[in-house]
Amino acid sequence: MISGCSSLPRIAVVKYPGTNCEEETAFAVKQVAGLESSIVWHTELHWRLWDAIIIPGGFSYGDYGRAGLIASWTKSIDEIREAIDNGTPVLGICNGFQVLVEAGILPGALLANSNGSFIARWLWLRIRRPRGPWLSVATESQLVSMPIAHAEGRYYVNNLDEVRQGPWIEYLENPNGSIANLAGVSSHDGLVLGLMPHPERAAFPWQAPPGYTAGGRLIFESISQSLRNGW
Amino acid sequence: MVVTNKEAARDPEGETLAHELRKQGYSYIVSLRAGKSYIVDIEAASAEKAILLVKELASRSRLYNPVVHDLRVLLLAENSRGKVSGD
Repeated sequence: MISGCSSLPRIAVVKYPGTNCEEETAFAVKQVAGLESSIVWHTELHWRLWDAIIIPGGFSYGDYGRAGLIASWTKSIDEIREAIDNGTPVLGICNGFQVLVEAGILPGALLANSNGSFIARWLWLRIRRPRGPWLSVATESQLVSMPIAHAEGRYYVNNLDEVRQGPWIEYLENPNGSIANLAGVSSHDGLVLGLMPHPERAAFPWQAPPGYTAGGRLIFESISQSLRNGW
Repeated sequence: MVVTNKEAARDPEGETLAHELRKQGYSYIVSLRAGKSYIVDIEAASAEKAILLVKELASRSRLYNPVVHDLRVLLLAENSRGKVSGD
């Protein structure tokens, strides 16, 4: 058997100073999606080398200024914009979602939770109008569970109709005061998805506490299917 | 109330923001301080009295910690509430 070049699709997991969910995100891509994945330092990100890009969770640049602000100034964002213009799927998880909204790639803003606290808990989500590479195996109104862990997750947007032109993810029980229970929003075509819940922490049954299931698998199974067979 | 870290206590947030902004081309930034501001509406007989009350509030409540913080109290508006005539 000839070893060497693999033809598997490759996903970059971008790391900024303060990112801390990159290992488990890359692990979930490999184990659940069955794709190749590497952790890429943000200055080394070249979009042409990758079939999809994930900005994982954490506290990039210490959340200085606002969560995601300084990362949104880096040249990795120019790479990500170009990737999106060329049809490369991009996913932002938690702090990655905050980076995407700070960069203006996704609409809206993420404000401090309405209860003033950091919230870390599992909860149920509903997938709405799924389409695009990150939700290609989801069905309308499918329920999934994942954990959240954030202090600034209260999604706010001026124009809800704009957001609802793409797929979105909503909380069944709104934990943080997000407008319209929004937990995640997308570009119209679903190519770019940002969400506060952590799919990589809900990628295996052993991660889920009693009463919940590994709902994050949906995201990784979708991108696997999409990169192999289109979406 | 504007609460910032004293020079000796450093200011990693401000220093990081200044450093990253200079990298973005804003080379004219000499320094940048991060801090917290609190806007308080209070009742007082005069502007001078209001500033004194707010300084006392900041110190007693430890919203400002004199060990590590500098405090500035700025008057933003007078008669902001309960004003019958005028604007």
